[in-house]
Amino acid sequence: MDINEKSINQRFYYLRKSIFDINGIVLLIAIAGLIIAFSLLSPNFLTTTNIRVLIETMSILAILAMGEHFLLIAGEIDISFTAILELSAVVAALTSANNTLLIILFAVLSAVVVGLINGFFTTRVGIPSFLVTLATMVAIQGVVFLISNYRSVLLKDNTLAQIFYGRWLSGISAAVLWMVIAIIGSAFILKSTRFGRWVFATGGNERAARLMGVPTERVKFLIFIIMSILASVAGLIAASRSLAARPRMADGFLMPVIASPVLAGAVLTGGRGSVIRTVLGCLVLTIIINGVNLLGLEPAYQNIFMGCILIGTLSVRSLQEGSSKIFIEKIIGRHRR
Amino acid sequence: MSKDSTKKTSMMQHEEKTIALECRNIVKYYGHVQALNNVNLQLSKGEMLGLVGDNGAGKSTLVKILRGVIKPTSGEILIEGEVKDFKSPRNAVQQGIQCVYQESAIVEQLSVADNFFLGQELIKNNANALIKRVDNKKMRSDSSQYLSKMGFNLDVRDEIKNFSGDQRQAVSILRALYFNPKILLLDEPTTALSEKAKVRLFEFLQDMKKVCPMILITHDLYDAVRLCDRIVVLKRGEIVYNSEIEGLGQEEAFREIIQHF
Repeated sequence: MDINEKSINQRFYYLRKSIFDINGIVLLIAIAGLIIAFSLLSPNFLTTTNIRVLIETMSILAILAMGEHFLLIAGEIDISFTAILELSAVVAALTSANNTLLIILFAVLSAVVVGLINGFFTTRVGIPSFLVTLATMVAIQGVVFLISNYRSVLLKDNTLAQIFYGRWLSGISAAVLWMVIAIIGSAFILKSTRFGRWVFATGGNERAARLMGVPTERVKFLIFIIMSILASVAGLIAASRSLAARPRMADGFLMPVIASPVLAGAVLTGGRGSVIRTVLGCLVLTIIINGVNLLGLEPAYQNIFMGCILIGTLSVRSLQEGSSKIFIEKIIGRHRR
Repeated sequence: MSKDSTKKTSMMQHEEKTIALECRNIVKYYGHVQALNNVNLQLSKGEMLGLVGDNGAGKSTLVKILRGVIKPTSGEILIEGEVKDFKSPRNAVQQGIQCVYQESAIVEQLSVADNFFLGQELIKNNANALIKRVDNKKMRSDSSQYLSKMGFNLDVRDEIKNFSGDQRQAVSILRALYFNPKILLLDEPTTALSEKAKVRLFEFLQDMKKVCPMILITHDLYDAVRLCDRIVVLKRGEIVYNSEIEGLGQEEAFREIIQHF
């Protein structure tokens, strides 16, 4: 058996590679540290009820992070997902149809329209995605204010609430199942489909990918649509949870959704990312949110902790580039670039 | 020589001269600027053609047309006698044109196997039309076997950034040949290579041209003379020299061709 055949037969190569790189190790250490710290500080932290609450809290974040993760791998970014989430939720609450499927269809379609606008202006007109989605975020927030008349709108359809936040199999919230579907679906697309390869190639070296026949514009267009559909699902979950939809209901999600894939190793220039590590990134941020709530601290502490974790992880990643000797030289400031 | 063997030789010669690619009256304008003027070109099977010329001569424009990146203003491209219209680079690849690029067209973050099949991933037989599942196992084993057959023992799961420039260029040439192209375009393939690697590549290409006709696009006339059977010189969008150099010594061929620059 030659070296290649032998190595090909090694199982779980990619799983090991995903978790046991520097980003995965830092995230695992952060999770362990946070769990130890919060369980020492609060006796309620490691209880079954709290773990269930924690996972349910994570569901919306993880669903949105999966979409953002796709975009970051392809070298793009979307910050309009908060507005898309609010739009879908408000559209669902305002739709007076008796047919639940029709309500879901309207909510998702309204999100897809925003995804199409983002995709069109980024790929066809050539405006950087950050600026396009900044503009659509502001514009869609305005639309949400107008159609909701600046108020909360009650969700009238109980079936919809059951589908997105009801208790399913042995009391598990539907939101958790939607999160699992989003995670498994994303992992499957990125790992096992041609489209997934094209997403990595588009972000890694767009010119090379185009030369080799990858339709990079179409790939980006589709990712903006995937992001908007996931934001729509997140919006329906959020509306089902509180049985109402309102403007600015997604305000707290902007930073954690972008931070989760970045913590996981995604870079703004594209080509890198991992579903498993993004889930770990979501878990780190959710533990902070949950722990701060349990301790009865002001929500401002959540932001402080999240910011510290993000800068700490990015610093370790940046310092780690190179050998351990360079790592030490960088810390003591003697490394010459 | 027997009658049969004479007949066989003549048939072989005829087959050797079968036209693989023909460019007929290719004209290309960029606005008011004429980049190509009535270019007529033929590439026979088993032949390696060198396309040379200074910067701005029109080489890149002709290559872009052959790759399906741009369309000619007028003129036709025929592959094995059939008129072809390339709608995109992907479409050109599907119709049998493969290209090796100067900068290797490599995505550093992807593995060797993924780069080997970039844009032409192997799809599982039972995959449905919408969700095209890639056959990772076959991609890894095929690329590994193909590369080792050519003398490159690489762990194809490793990211390609971990390998040398020679190895990357080998991946980009071998991936082009893996798909049995009808025509192989080599766009300045030696720019990133060491002299030793260049010699190895030339030996390899000499063998491979019997399998697949090639066009070598280069600004280095020495390389073209060393490697090609025929040289075409482009100057200001027109062909000013088009001749076989078989029988001429390298120095003699060089002196003859350089007059046309």
